[in-house]
Order: sequence, then structure tokens, then C-alpha cells
Amino acid sequence: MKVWLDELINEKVGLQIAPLIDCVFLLLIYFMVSSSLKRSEADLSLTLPGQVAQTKELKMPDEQIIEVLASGSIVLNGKVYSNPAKLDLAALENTLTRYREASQLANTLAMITIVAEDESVHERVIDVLNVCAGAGITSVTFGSTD
Amino acid sequence: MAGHFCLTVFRRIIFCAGCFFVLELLARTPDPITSEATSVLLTRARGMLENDQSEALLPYLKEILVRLEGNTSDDAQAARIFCLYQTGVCLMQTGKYAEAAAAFESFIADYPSESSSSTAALLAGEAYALQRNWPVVEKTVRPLLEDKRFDVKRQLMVRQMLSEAFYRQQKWKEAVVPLTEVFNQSKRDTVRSSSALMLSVCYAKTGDFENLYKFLPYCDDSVRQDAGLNVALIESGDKKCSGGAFQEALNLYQMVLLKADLLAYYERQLLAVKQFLSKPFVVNVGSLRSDYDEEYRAKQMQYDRLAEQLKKIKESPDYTVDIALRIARCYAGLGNNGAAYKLYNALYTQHPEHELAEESRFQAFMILLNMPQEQAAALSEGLAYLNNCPANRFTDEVTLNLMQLMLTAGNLVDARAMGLKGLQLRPDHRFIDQVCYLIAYIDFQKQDYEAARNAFTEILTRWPASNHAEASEYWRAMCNLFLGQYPKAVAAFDAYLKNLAWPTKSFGEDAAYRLGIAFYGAGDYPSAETAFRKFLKTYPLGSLRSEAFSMLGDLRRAAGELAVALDFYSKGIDAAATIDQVNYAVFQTAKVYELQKNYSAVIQLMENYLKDQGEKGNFASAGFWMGKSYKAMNQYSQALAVYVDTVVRFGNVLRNDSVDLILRELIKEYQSEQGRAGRPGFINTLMDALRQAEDRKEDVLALRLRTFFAYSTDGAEREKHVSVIFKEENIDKSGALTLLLFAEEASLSRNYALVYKACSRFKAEFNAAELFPNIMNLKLNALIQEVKYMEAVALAEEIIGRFGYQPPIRLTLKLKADALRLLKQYDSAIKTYNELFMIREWRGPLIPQALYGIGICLEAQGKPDEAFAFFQRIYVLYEGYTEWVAKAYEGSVRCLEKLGRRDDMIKTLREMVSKADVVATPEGKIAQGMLDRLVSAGGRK
Repeated sequence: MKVWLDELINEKVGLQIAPLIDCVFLLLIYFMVSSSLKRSEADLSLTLPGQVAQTKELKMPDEQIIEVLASGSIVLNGKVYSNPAKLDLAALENTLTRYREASQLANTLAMITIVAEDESVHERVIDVLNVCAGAGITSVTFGSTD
Repeated sequence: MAGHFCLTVFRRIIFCAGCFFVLELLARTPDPITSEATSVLLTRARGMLENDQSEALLPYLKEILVRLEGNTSDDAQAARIFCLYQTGVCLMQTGKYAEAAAAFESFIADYPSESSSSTAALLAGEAYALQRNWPVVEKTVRPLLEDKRFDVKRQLMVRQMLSEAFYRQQKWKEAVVPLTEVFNQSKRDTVRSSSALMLSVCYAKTGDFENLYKFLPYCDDSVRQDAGLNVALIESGDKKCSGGAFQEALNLYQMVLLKADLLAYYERQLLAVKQFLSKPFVVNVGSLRSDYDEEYRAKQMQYDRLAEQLKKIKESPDYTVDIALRIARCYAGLGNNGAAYKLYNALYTQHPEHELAEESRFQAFMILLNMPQEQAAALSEGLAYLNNCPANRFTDEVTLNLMQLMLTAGNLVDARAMGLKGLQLRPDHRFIDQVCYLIAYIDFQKQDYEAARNAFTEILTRWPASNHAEASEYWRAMCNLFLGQYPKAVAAFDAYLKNLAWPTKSFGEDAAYRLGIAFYGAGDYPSAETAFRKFLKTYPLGSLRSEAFSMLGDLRRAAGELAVALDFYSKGIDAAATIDQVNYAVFQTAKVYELQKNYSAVIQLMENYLKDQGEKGNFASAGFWMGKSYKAMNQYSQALAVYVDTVVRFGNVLRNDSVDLILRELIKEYQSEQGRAGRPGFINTLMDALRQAEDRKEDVLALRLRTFFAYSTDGAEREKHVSVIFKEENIDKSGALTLLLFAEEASLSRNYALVYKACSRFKAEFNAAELFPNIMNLKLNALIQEVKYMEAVALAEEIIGRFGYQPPIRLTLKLKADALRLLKQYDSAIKTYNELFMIREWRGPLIPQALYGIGICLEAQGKPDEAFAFFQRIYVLYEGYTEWVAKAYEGSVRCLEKLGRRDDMIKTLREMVSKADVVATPEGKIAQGMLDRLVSAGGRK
């Protein structure tokens, strides 16, 4: 009885790391299985194919407006980006990157106006802002649908 | 020889001496008058008097008077009285009227109390009358009026003489009394007729038409030809005419004897007198030579008088045309325009060289102007006047009236040209201010407000006192308003309202209301509200009251006071004088209800509106609002039912172009998600309506419904409907939307003649329809396809000028820019393309086209580097428009080639062919070939 009690009293408290490692591995396996890697589409080039720099500032009159619809769709010049998993946002970013590059060559400032419908989801506006940031466009303004 | 000469001279001397001797003997013979005793002379004088030897008697009488001079014995005085009186009588009989008058005057002066002095005065008066010395006749005869010594016959003679004296001196009023007495008392018809004639003239001259008509019937044929009477009749007619009594004037003019009648009368009279004069004196039992001589002398005098008058008549201008002109004027005044026109027309047709021919043509034109059904004839007549009589007496009136006529017919271009022609023909045009005013007004109507404002300003500067100055000031303010220069408009309306030059303002109400509108346009809403409230207070019964209430409603609605706004709109509906005013207030009310989400109120409002206004109302908009409200209330089937019901009820009337707007709405609904859901029921309803319309031969409605199906279906189903519609004979039965479809189909099949025909029909029937620019764009495209670039640019400018910046205008602008580019006017083309970017709402497929157009222009101007940037912008940002992306790649490659950028060319081509949709285009296929060649040539892929 005494032996048992002594053992109990003198027992050293230590961390059993093995189960912890098991858990870490399990979590690692779970995330590896469940996540997908963000990767660029193979057929989209990130740079402009031909580049002609302008010696003076070109007057490019068209204003680029990205619409965020209540349905969650994002529209740029008639092209709709509506993938629920946001997979097509890379294509949008690529387009905007090329736009920024073309503007630089034309000595103009690439500017985006985001026009969000009244009942659009805030998250989608953030997505567009992220895409603009990814494309290196810093001049972003907001417009109204009226 | 010398001997013969001497004998001749001797003979002549002897002859002269003989003559002298005989004359001397005669001179020494004692004068029987001077040598005879006075008693003998008196006896001889009496004998001569009895034998009417007036001429021979005169020396005896003179001798006796000389001898009795100063002898105061009774016998001597009696003899002197007798001789003095008889001297006057003899002088009268021998035609020495002046001496006779002097003799009688002397007699009256010497023997005023003598019983025969009154008769002497009468004879003196007659002597003066024969000398036509009418003032002295009046002076001599007037005292005899009260002479009691005269018998009735002599009294009548006195009145006759006095009245003629008055008459000849044109003392018409004074002549009336003695003439009336002569007329009443004379037993001789000729005297009565003459006095009736003179009375008629007197009454005509004094304007006493009642008595004139009374006496005219007494003027028989022997006096009717009197020139004085005819002149008096004309003058009286003129007075009546100018007084508006056209029937009486007509009667008077018709009584005037025309020149031909007068000439015939005088010639007849002359012939009769001449025949008498040509007959010698024939001794018959009881006939005396002295009577014959007397009558002969009278006839000779009559002949001379008649001959003189005939000469005068012949020399006088023919007044037949003049009288006819006056008669025509009377017909016109009586409203018998047909008769008046015929007369005027006959005058200038039959007497083209007559001096009154021009006036006749002008009057004919004026008559036609007054005949509403003869406006086309009036136009021809007026133009004929200008062609035949340019810059003549009535050119001012004709050009002005033609201008107004064309304006009334809505022919603004011709009216303006006519005004300018008038000013060109007559630089000192009598109505120059009015013509300039009308030109300015036409400019305003043509929406050329800048030109109109300048013209109104010129009128105010050049003719500040003109009748059109006030209107010019008002319309100048309106120009500022329509030009959108609101602060200027505010100042102009305010200046007009405060201008003391016209205290009773013709445009006061309008200007007061427009002042509010100008404030509103300038964004000064408090002042606008003040102006509208002041307007309502100043013009509580004004015709613009409803609009002022509606504007106040708009102002309160903008301030968020919806209940107050509704109250104003309600007042606007109650005060509305026109359907447009009702419409504005009603549909603004609907907008407020929509803001309040009170859709049932909208439906109720529209139902009441349709009930009250019926076909007068804008039923299409009402149907649209009801449908919209039902949809908002999730009563989708109800919405469609309202649309369909409206189309079926009002769709068979060609002019109801609002039905076409509902059809467009139905087409949109049909293609929407909700439409798809209810499609079967919807289609069945419309199909039934189509079948019923065709059964009832309601062609217009049937074509409208088929148009709906043509726009809503595709493939074989669409073709079925299009094949029924697309027949030339249907053009006249097609509503606005059907005509648009027609023109689209014609354009697709490149049948541009049909495009033009459909457009012309549309312009004629639906000039104010909303679809007007849409169909005109098809015409514009047809003109470009047929290389009629100049016409295309002109048409585009007309459309843009009329419709401003409505959505269909973006295509008009693009087509205009294309036409300018094809005309090689690159700078203008680029400027026009750039206009497409100005309005954010216009984004869409036209933007890449405009970018491409600018690129082409820059490339043509030798700026491939700049052109490249525009082409590149398309494939970077407008990927959805494959056709233009392909063209843009092609353009980029072309520019790079010009810039010698071979590697960039290859990169661009490679990117182009990497896109499946692009490589499938014609440009894509060419690009593939080019890439292959470049790579093989450079040894790199």
C-alpha cells in the first residue's frame, strides 16, 4: 500500500509527446487533403505580347468600371466573373495587370471604378479590391449605380 | 412797152379816185337814227320789238337812252325804263350775256322799286348762269326767294336757278332744299328728272343714303348717263364699302354706267342732234323763222355740250376694271369668296396689261388665303404673283402672307426661305420687323436656339418700338432656357416681367412660369419654389397652373416631403387644362407611390386615369405602370394580363405608338427569368389574340403581335412570323415597332430601297415616336453601305440635333464617326468617337468599336505607335467582343510591322492564335498563316 502511495506521491509529471505528434500529423494530413493549391492558368500570359512605349501621354478616354452585382457576379466590360469558388478571379487579376502595363506604356494612369449594387455582398467588393491590389493598380474609386 | 405801163398806172389812179369819191359821198349821207326824232325812234323800236329784230333794235335803244339821259319827265323816265329793260333782253337774245347782265344790273340799280326789277334780277341771274358764274348767280337770285311779286312759275325758276348755282358750287346741303321744291312743284318731266339726278348726287355726296335710294328711281334714262351721278355712285359705294356695308356698296357700284354704255348713249344723242342741225328751215303754215333759229341755237349748244362730254369720256381712262374690282371687293366683304375670286381672276386674266391687273392678282391671292380649303391654290397664286410681279406693289404683303401660309402648313424650311426672299426682293420691306420675327421664330421651332436668340436680339435692337418687340424679348428668354443657359434665362425672364415698355404683358403668365423653370434649371430651388408660388398667386386661373403645381410637387418630392408632393400633384391633376398636364401630374404621382412602395395605389391611380381619359390618355404608360406595380406585388400573371389587355384594346389603331412601347416591354419580360417561368400561358394568350385579330381582319394589331413573336422567338418559328410581316404591301399597315423590324430585315438583306421606304413611312406616321432614332440609324447604316457618306453625316447630325443624348444616339454617333472616317476626315472622326466615351451608361459593344475606329484613324494619319495602343486596349480589356478582339490583334500586328517590331509581332500573333474563339475568325486564320511564315523565316517558334 505504502509503495503504491509513495509511487503515487513521487511520480514525475511529463508531457507525452507521441499522441500530440499523432494529432499534428493527422491535422497535417487533413489540411493537405482538403485544400487546393492556388495556381495560375497555363494559357494566360501575365505580360503583354507586344509592347510599344509612347513618348507622350496618350488620351485614352475609356473609364474602366468593375460592377459588383447583387448576385455576386463581377462584370468588367461585359465579361462576367461569377465562379463561386472565386477561381476566375485570377483571370480578372491577369486582365487588370495587363491593363496596368498597357497604361504604363501609354503614359496614362490605370484607374478602376468599382460600382457595387445596393444589395451586393461586401465580400465581393473586397475580392475586387484584392484583385486590383494584386494587379498593382492603386487608383481605385467607387461609383454609384445611378 | 413804156406806153402800156403808163396807161395801166393811169387807169389805177382813176379807179382809186373813183372809190374815194363814192366813199366820201356815203360819209356825207345823214344817219337815219341820229337824224330822226326820238318819237320816231321809239315807234321804230316798238316795231322791231314786235318783229323780234333784237340785233337791229339795239342801236335804236342805245340812241334813245342817250337822248333821254338827264330828262326827268315822267314820259322820258317811262321810255328810259322800257329801253333799258329791253336792251338787257336784246343783249340776252343776241348771246351777249355779260353785257345783258350789266344792263339788268344797271336797271335794278336805277329803278329798284320798279315792278319789273325782280324780273330783271331774274334775267340777270340767268345771264350770269349762262356765263357759268355760279357765285354771282347765287348772290343775284337768293334775294328773289322771298319776292312776292313772282307768280308760281317765276318762283320755280328762281329755285331752279339757285339750286343749280348751289349744285355747281358743290354746296350739296344747300342745294337740297331748292332742288326738292323744284322736284315737287315742277310739272315738266325733264325738270323733275334733272332735279332728281341732282338730288341723288347731293344725297350721295352728303352720305344721305336713305334719300339717295328714294330719288334714284326718278332718274330716268335721259339723266342716268350723267357723269356726276356715276361719280357720286362710285364715291357713295366707296363710303359704304369702307363702312362695311358691302351689300349697299355693291348695289351702288352695279348702278354705275360703264364707259361703253356712256359712249353709246352720247353717240346716239349726238347723232339725233346732228340730224336736226343738218335739216334746213322749211317754211310751213304757222312756222316762224325766229322759232327755228331759237331752236337751232339751242340744239347747237346741246350738240357742243354733248360733243365736249363725249370727248371727255373718250379721253378718260376706262373704269370698267376699276368698278369690277370694287364689286369683287364687295363680294369678298360679303363672304362670297368664290364670286370674288372668279371676278379677280377674270380681271387679271382678261386684262393682263391693265394697271389694276396686279392688284387683282394680289386680291385673288388674299381671297384664297381666306378660304381654308384653298390653301394650296393660295400658295400657287402667291408664288405666281411673285413670278409675274417681282418686287412690285404688293410684294411685301405677298411674301409675308406666303411665309405665314407655309408656317401654318408646318413647312418651316420653305417659310424661312420665303422670308429671306422677301427681304432680298425688298430690302426696305414694309413688314421687315415681322418677317425677321418670323424667321427668328422658325429658327426657334427648328431648335436652332442660338440663331433664334441672335435674331430676336437684332429685332429688339433695330426695332425697339415694333409690335413684335415684346414677343422677341420673351422668345429670347425662351432661347436661353432651351439652350440650358439658366442664369441668363432667369435674368431675361425677370427683365421681361419688369419691362415697363409693355405694361399689359402678352406673355406675362408664361414668363412668370418659365422664370420658375429657369430657377429650377439653375439649381436655385428655393427661388424656383418662390417663383411658382408667386405665379399661382398672380395667375390663379392661368392655363399653366397645373404645371406649376406639379413643379412644386417635384420640388417637395426632392426634399423628401412625399405627402406634400402628393398633395401638389393632386392639385396639378385637378387644375389640368390639357392631357399633357394630366399625364405629367399622374405619372409623377405614380413615382411617389413607387417610392412609398404603395403599389396598390399606383394601380388604383392608373385605373382611374384610364377610366377618366380613355383613348386620349397615355394608356401605354398607364399599362406599363400597372404591369410594373403588379410585378412588384409579385402578381406576375396580373402584370402580363395588363400588358396584353392594353395591346389588344388599343393596338389596332396605327397611330397608337405607345402600344409599341408595351410590346417592347413584353418582349423584355418574355426574355426575363420570370417571363420564362410563365412563358406557355403568356404565349397562348398572345397567340389567341393574334388569331382573333386576324379573324377580325385587324391587320395593324395582327402585325404588331407578329412583330412581338418575331422579336421573341428564333429559328424557324421566328422566320414564320417575319415572312408574314416582311412584305412591301404591309408597310402602310405597320406600327412603329413593326416598321423597325421591317427596316432591320431589309437592312440584313441589303435591300436598302426598302429600308428608305420604311424610314419614310415611319417619319410620316410616327415622327414623334420613341423608336424614331432607332429606325433612322438603319437608314444611316444604309447610306454608309451605299457610300453616301455626306448624306449619312447630315442625317446623323439631324438625328443628334433632335434627340440629344438618348440611348440610341450612341449608335448614331458611332455611325457618324464611321462616315467621317470613310470621308478621311480623321480628326473629326476621332472627336466623334470620343463622344461615345462621355456617357457612362453608353458602355457596351460600341466602346471596342470606337477604340478600333480611333486606331484606324491614327494609323491612317501615320501614327502606328498611337494606333497600336488603341488596338491593344481592345484585346486587353474587351475580351468578350471576339470580332473586335480579332480585328484589334490584326491592327496591332500591322502597326508593329510598320514599326519594324518583328519579335513583338510574333508574340502578338502567338497570343492571338492561342485563343480558340479568335483563331476561328477570318482574321485569326490569316494570323495563323502569318505566324507560320514569320517563324519559318526567322527559324524560331
